[in-house]
Parts: sequence; structure tokens; C-alpha cells
Amino acid sequence: MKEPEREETKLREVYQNYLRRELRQPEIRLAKKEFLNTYFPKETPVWLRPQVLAPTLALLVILLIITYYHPSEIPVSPGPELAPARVEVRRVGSGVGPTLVYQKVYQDVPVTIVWVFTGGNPQ
Amino acid sequence: MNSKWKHLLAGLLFFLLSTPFAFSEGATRTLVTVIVASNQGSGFDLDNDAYRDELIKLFSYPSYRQIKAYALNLEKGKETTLQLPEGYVLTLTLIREEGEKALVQASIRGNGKEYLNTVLSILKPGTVFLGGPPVQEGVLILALEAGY
Repeated sequence: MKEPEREETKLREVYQNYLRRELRQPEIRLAKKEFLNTYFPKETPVWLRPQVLAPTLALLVILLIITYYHPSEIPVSPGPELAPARVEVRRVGSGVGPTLVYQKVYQDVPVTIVWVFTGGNPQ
Repeated sequence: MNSKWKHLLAGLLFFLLSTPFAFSEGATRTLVTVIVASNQGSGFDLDNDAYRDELIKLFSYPSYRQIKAYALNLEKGKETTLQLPEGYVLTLTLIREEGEKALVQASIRGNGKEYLNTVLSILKPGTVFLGGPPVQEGVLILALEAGY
């Protein structure tokens, strides 16, 4: 090997060693990592991409509903029920005119009215 | 202890001992409200405001006037008579009690006639309205509340 070539090789080695030492420094390594993360981010796995994840989750929900949905088990509200009549008319009579027994619902409770007609009508 | 204090003590003792019997089984506390409903005038003259909404809903007279209210303790088999306006008489009898129900006979008489005679089974507390007998202003309505 000629002298200039040897010199060049030696210089290259020195330069490489210098670079190696520099690059091994923690600050440089961290900066390099940050640089790569910033400008060359890792790609999100396909299955985690929203365009795949959203329909998958929706399908899962539909499958769960189909599996556990039993119409007969749905509690059905019995709806408003009237309270039982508090008054029962066992017997009614009058010596002056016809009688009428009727009930009207007041605040969900049937109220009993016993009326005797003596010529006028109940209003 | 002088005789005045003895009498007072005896009276107090009698009251304390007699009170439980007054509300013993076979008795039903009943409120009777005598109301005259009429087409003359308008408005409500009632002690119990709760009746106002009830009367509006049940009847459509423009005027209601409370004549009297009675608090009774109906005893089994015993007739209780109340004087109503214009010579009417209301007679109430507790026939018997059937669990939570009171079997009550109610009759309204007046001018030698029987206007109404009815037997009611009232689930306590329960209200029934009896009405129809005519009075000068309009008609008589009786609100019977049993078991209060």
C-alpha cells in the first residue's frame, strides 16, 4: 500500500471511530430516536386502524345482541292499573224514585256515588 | 287530698280506661259531611278543600255549600242517627266488619218517606257519596268516609 493510501485509511478509521463514539452517546441516541419517531412514525397495525376497528366492533355488538336477546325476557310494563273499588254497594233501594249507583275515577281511584232520583237529574 | 282532686283523678282515670274501648274492634270511625249542591250562585263553601276537586270531577253543580260535618264512631249493631237539613234524617249502622272492610247500612228518610236505603261494603279507608234528596236550594249530597 502506498503512503497516501495508508494515510487515507488511517484517517478513515479515526473518523469512523470518532463517529462511532459520538453516536453512542445517550443524548445523540435519544435525539436520533425522536427524529425517527417524528419523521418516520411506525405504522399502526391494520387491525387497529379505525376503518377496520369500527366495523369489527359494530359486528361484535350485533352478534352479542343476537346471542343474548330474547324477546320473551324483556320486562313488559303492566301499565297503569286502577286501584280496586273501595266501596261495593251490596243493596240499594228507595221509596221515592229510581236509584243509580255509579263510579267515577278520581285520581286513579274509583269513587262510588249512590243517587236517588226524585224528579231532578244528578248534575 | 280534697274531694275536688279526687273527682278530677277519677275522671282522668275513667277517660284513660274508656278510650281504648271507644276504638276497639267492632267500631269504625266515620266522617259524614253534609253538602248542599245547587244551581243557584257559584262557589265552594267547604271545610275540607280535598272535597272541592272531587266534587268538581264527580258532579257539575256550580255551587257547593257545606252544612255540617260529623265525626262518628260507628259501633257494631248500633244505629247512629244524624239530623240533616229540612227534616231529613241519616241513619248509619255498622252491620259488621269483614277484615279491612266495614259493612255499613245507610238510610236517608224524610217527610215520612224513605229516600235511600243502602248497604255498603267499604274498604277502609273509603269514601262514598250519597245524594239526591231535594232541598230548597238544590240537592243534598252526603260524603261518607269510613275508616279514617
